[in-house]
Amino acid sequence: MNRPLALVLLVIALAGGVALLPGLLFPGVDFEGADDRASEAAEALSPEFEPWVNLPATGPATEDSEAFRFLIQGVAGAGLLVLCVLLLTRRGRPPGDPGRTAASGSGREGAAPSSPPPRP
Amino acid sequence: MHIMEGYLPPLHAAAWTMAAAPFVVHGCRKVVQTLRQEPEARLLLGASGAFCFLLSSLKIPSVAGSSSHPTGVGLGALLVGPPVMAVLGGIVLLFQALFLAHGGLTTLGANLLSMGVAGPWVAWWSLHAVRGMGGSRRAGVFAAATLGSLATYVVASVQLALAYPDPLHGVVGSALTFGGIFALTQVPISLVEGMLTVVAVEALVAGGAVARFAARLGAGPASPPAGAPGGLPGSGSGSS
Repeated sequence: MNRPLALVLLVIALAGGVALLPGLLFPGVDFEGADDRASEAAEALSPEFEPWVNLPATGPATEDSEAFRFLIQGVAGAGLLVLCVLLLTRRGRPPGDPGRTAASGSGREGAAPSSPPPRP
Repeated sequence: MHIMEGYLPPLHAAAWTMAAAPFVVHGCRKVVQTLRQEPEARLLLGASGAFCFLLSSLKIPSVAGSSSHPTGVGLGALLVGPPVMAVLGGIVLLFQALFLAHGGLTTLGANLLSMGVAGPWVAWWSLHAVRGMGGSRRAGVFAAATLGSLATYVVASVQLALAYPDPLHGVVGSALTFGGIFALTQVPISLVEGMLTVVAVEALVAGGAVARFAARLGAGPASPPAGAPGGLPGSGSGSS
């Protein structure tokens, strides 16, 4: 596995770990969203105010479906990130470098020059 | 976590939307211009958007028993420039407003101004400030992503404070209240985002991607010209 891909997978693993770890350390504890708390504070500051609109109707109905949609967003982001890094790694190599067509190895040997001249 | 649907009075919602609109238009023009000049930059755009998409999906518990999420806008601001992040951040916010009921359509302008404009620009300025003081690339990227994320929520706190001034202490008192909720929750999350962004940048540098594109996207490798955001200074120098 090349180094960039390994690092990106590390980012994704760390991100997932950071999101999951508190739940594992404190099972059953409900960490209320900061936006919910902010909404409560707004209502406390202005008791007569009520949200004047409630859109859209496509929002998640339950907490489980909300978590599922967030999961889809995260997986889509992670997948696209891995794909882009793989393609970037391949294209970052100069023409003729075997790694340009098969992104493998350390990821360093075919790296572009440190300061490529700007296109005129 | 963003300002929720309907929680900004109509006048405020309209004002923030009008304030955000020019940044989105400018960002769209930058995207078109960048892709026209350098078609391969679409991969950096994709990676920046994907990183933003990934990080903003993470609901992370934080101090005071509340949770929030990273913004992920710092990486894109450094790679493709802050103007472009108004577009990428807008896409993420629109997705979350439509499908996750986070944020909202009426508050899209306000949320866009905080996450798609303020955060990326603070990130970009932070990077250049750290680099200007002789800091390493990693230190600059860490500061940029951390402060950019934090700035997003500070701006959101001010936006809410303007809509809900404290009866006794006015807008300042209200800003402190909302800041205590949003910004305080965000401090550890922003630090995590800073670390993740450093690793992501290192991944791109290791692949030669940043060095290849940074100079072409409007900024020199070490000392970008003032007023020309759009690259990662020092990306090619190897200093870290």
